[in-house]
Formats: sequence, structure tokens, C-alpha cells
Amino acid sequence: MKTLVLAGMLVLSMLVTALSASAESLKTIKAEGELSFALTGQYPPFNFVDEQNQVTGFDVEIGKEIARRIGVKGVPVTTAWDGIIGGLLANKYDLICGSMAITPQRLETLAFSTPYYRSGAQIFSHVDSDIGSVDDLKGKKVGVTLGTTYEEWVRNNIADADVRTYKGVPDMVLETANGRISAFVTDKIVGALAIKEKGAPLKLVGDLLYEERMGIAFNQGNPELKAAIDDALSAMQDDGTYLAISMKWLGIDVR
Amino acid sequence: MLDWGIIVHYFPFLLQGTVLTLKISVIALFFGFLFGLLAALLKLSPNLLLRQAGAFYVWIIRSTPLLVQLFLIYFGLPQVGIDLGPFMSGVLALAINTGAYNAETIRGGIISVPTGQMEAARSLGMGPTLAMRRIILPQAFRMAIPALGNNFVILIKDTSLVSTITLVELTLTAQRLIGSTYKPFEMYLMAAFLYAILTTTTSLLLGRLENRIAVERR
Amino acid sequence: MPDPNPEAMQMIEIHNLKKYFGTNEVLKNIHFNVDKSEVVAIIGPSGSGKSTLLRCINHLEEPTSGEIYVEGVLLNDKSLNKRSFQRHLNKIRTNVGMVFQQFNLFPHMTALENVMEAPLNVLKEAKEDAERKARVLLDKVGIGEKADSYPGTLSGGQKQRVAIARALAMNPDVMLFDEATSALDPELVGEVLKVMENLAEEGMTMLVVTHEMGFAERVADRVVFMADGYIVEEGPPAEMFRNPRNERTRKFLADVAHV
Repeated sequence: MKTLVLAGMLVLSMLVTALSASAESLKTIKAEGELSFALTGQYPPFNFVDEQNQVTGFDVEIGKEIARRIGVKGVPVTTAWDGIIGGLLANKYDLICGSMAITPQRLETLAFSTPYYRSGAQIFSHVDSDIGSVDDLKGKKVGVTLGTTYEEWVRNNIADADVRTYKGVPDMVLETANGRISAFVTDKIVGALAIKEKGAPLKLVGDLLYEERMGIAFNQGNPELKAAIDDALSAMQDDGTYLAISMKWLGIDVR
Repeated sequence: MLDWGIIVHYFPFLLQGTVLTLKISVIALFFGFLFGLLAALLKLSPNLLLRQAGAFYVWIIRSTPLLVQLFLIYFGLPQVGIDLGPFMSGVLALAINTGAYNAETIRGGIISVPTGQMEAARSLGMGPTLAMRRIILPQAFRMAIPALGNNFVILIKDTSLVSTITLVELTLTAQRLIGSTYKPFEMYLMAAFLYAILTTTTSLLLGRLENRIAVERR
Repeated sequence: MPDPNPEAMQMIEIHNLKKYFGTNEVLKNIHFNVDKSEVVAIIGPSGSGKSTLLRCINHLEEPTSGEIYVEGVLLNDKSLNKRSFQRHLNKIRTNVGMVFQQFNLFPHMTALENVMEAPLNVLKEAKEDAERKARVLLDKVGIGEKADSYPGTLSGGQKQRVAIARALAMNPDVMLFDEATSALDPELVGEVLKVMENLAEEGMTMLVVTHEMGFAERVADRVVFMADGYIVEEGPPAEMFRNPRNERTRKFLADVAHV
């Protein structure tokens, strides 16, 4: 009896494995008619929740446009940045379309589309702060979003920095505004939009720290899925859809 | 200080988040009660193996954080081929967690029923299961209601943790809206207010149940 | 398992009964029979083993050794496995009513529900039948008007009468009374004894562990005196109370008389 139960459990678990292993393949995505893509929802203007509590922004429209071109419905899923790769590996969604930079380290566990926008890391501090360059950040409290490339860069490049990690950019904007941290590092476009749109009392410090290329991430071993996404991306760049989305949310072409 | 325009505009969205919080709470409460009852009976079983199984469950759950249990189910289980959605994972983790606390509460209720009750039931020809169901458990639950109610309230508050696994319940609704409004004070105040409504209503309902039983027994 | 034999002369037969609590020997080789319709009063100082003897008869205490037969059926049948032994026990217990010193009424049920509980759920009687019978029994013990009261609102004497009705609802062939009046205020003892006396007159087989010597003398067919786990002396009440042979019996009766 016991052996029977054990055997049954084994079969069942293999069945579930088999099902979930194929969960993000292009064929199943088409069969389900749904392409789910993850983002934090706390990264305006790339992805955020609007006044109607709807998830929207540059990433969201790009993700939905890709889904449309594959012939399915695009469904954004909001999740914390530090758990976003774990969720993809656990097949909780099909893609990460949330401004993820392509890095060699991430390429070890994930697959990426061709880059869908370029940006760079930028230091932001309070308008009244006397911080003028990277060197002024030595030993200061510097905010970064947990699990980002910015976190890694700050830890490796700013001596004695007191690194504070946060769940999203809005938290860091508020913390810098009320003086709890001296500065934070994030995407240049994101920070610049916070100043422009929300009137945050921030200034840009120095030049870009480095340039980044953002990609859409998915699980490895899905060449059909990669091809479909890359085709959709290049097609929307050719027919002007991409430019329209970019101008709508960012006011510039970030290609 | 407060931006009332923000509060008026966004309150309906937080109410939507509250609906999911309530849904998760009620389902987890139901299964948490079942798990608790089952574990309490296991811990009181004459069979050593069953007793140890019950004790192990209660021990492992009470000695680890709910957040870790939640992540283990949501992120960990898919690795061994068990892929539950966020809703199922959240409800399961909460139910398993609160079940361990309910188990101790219910067990306490059962052993506080005087032994004469079991003897009287058995002397009337009732078997152990029938006597437990008809005579001991109804009295045990009556005694356990205040402590069970406390567990229920803790459960409702603990549902905020499922905001970490993509469930847009009350807490995550507030967090997401802060991302675009930059108004944490207003958003978290509204969330706190709505949690207080949920927990206070639960406490009041249980208080009334308790009073009704007190009247019945006097 | 043999069915109870209503024709058996002996309602209860006990052979070589021994009972230990740990290393403490509470019952020392008891031999004891009860005839059908016989009323036996068991008296003796506290700690003499009389309650333990009574509780062995429906297996609330497990005998350490010896045999107990109820209506010709071996109660502590060691040949049965755990499951069938439970069934066997439940069956015998439906024929053996027990009344406790502390009443042990179910506090979450009304008097009526207390009486109906076992007939409904053990004997599987129809609800109307069980209720009709329960009301008759509550009337019989004189508290028909309290049918819908919860035990918490009843006096000790009323509680004990509900408990007697609850035991009678199973149509038992023998009733065990374990110091049924000891927890009662003195002015409430009489109403319970009256109910027990009526039951005896109807021909119920009764084993009564009691401190009420007047009741024992008036109602019992036989009085058993126990001390230190032994049956020291037994006989008709007239003989036992007026002319006890054993020194210990004499001393016990003298002590009780002076209380």
C-alpha cells in the first residue's frame, strides 16, 4: 500500500514537472492564448500603476504589443524586483518585460531578447545637496533597488558606501527628498521623469556611470519564443509603433 | 497635511484590494481550522506514530517564519515539480501556518474538558469517535473560541505577506499606488484603516458567538 | 461474540478480579455475583475499592486479571482485537446504565437532549420515538418541566435525576450507582433516593455504592461490606446492620452511625 502511494506520488510529480517545464514554450503560450510578463509596477514611467489602478507604462505597452503580434493577450504581473527572476525560474509567468539590463551574470541563468531600449545608470541627489560627483559619495548613504545592476555597481565602485536597498524607485525618491539617504542610483530616464512629472526635489549628479541595454528575459531553451519576440520587436521598430510608444512615455527615442 | 483628494480618489481601489484580502482570509481560515483540528486529534491519538506526526507539524511550522514558508511553497515547490499558482500558494501557506497555532488551541480545549464527560459518553455505549464528535469537541470549541479568535485576527493581518508573491491584495495595492502617487502616508493609512475594519469585525462577531454560548450554558 | 442471554440467572458474575493502580492493589481477588432484579448495596470506608469494583463492571477501569461476565457474556474478552473489542464494549455498555457522583451531564445540551443523545446516536432510534421516550422518563424522575433547561441552571438533585433518566433511556438491564448522592446538599438527597427506590420496586437490577445506610437497609436485598480491596462480609440488610459478624464491619457501622 505504502509503495503504491509513493509510486503514485512520483508519477504525479513527474506529470506536473512535465507540464510546468513546457509552460513557457511558444506552443503552450499560443494554446493558452495568454502571454504573462513580469515587472515591479514601481518603475515609472517604464512600468507603474496609473490613477485607475491599472498597470501601464513603456514596458507594459511593449509587452502587450509583442503579445499582440504573437497573436495572444498580454497580461502584466507585478512582483518585487528581488523575487522577479525566482518567479520566472518557477514558471510563475512567461517573460520579464520590466526594464531588465542584459548582463553576463544574468545570461548564465536566463535567456534575453535583443535589446529593446538603451539607458544608463545615473546618480541622483537632493537639489540642495553639495554632492557633485561620484567621489563625493564615499562613506555616504546611497540607495539602490534590491537585486539591480545598480546595487552591484555601487557596492563594487563606491568606497565605503553605506548601501541601502529598497523595493522600488519611488521609495528612494521619497527617502532622498526627506534626507534619509544622500543619493541613489537608478536609470537616468526613470529619475529624470520623477523630477519632471512629480516635481521631486532632485538633481542629476555627474555623467552616466555606464550604459545599459535592456532586454526581455525568459527561460533558457526556448529558441522559438526568442525568435517570436525578436521578430515582433524588429517589426514594431520598422513600422513606427515602437517610436510612438517611446515618445508617448519617455518623450525621446530610447532605441 | 493629508491629501484628501488622493484619499477620495484611491479609496475604491484599496477596497478592491480588501476584497482579495478577505477572500484569502476566509479560505485560509476554513482550511486552517481543519488542519488545526486534524493536528490536535493527531497529537492526542493513542498511536505514537500519529502523535509524532502531529507534533512534528506543529513544531516545524511554529519554529519557522511564515514568510519563509510562503516562499518555500511559491518559489521552492516548482523546483520539485509542484507548481501552484500565487493564490493557491498564498492560501495554502497561510492555512498551514495558522493550522499549527489552531492545533495547540484546540488541543488545549479538548484536554480541558473534564474526564467525566468522556466516561459518561462511553458508559452510554458511545464509541471513542462518536463521543469525541458529539460530546468532547463541542465543549472544547466553546472553550477555545477566544484563543481561536485571536488566531483568526493574526491570520487576517498575516495575509499582507502574500503581497510578496504577486497577489494584488490590500498591501500590494497600496504599495503599487505609492509608486505612481508618491503618497505613502495616505496609502498606508487607508490600508491600516481597512485592516482594522476587517479584524475588528471578526472580533465583534466572535464576541457575540461567545456571549450566546455563555447564555446557553448558564 | 455470544448475545446476552436474558434467561441467565446471574446478571453479573465476577471471578478472581484483581486491579492494580501502579503497584497499589485496589481490588484483591474479588468473587461476586448479582442475580436478576437483585438490589445490592456496596458499603465501606473510602479507598476500600467499592467504586473501582463498580467501574470495572462497565470497563471504565480495566481489570488487571480475572473475569467479569455481564448477562453471561465475558466483558474483558482478551481474544478480541482492538476494533471488535470496542464494538463488544459498546454493546455491553448499552445494557449497563451508570450514574456518577459528579452527574457528568453534557453541559452543551438541554436535559431533554442529554436523555435523547445516546438513543439517537447509539441505538439509532427515530427522533420522535427518542423524544417521546425521553419526556416519559423525565416525567418519571419528576422533572418533566425542566426538559428544555441546560444543566447549568439545574440544582444538584435535578441534575442527578436527569442523569438517571439519561441512563434509563438506553433500556439497561442493570444500573450502577456510584455514590449518586454524595455530591448533593443534604436536603436534595431524598429526591434522588426516592427515584432509585421506585426503580428498585419496578424490578431493576441495581448495584449501589452508597453511604446512605438507611437507604441500603430499606431497599437493598443484599449488603456488601468492602474494606482494603476485599469483600469482608455480605448478607441481607437486617443481618448486616443488626448483627454483623466481622469486627471491621461492626466498627465501620458504629463510626457511620455516629456521624
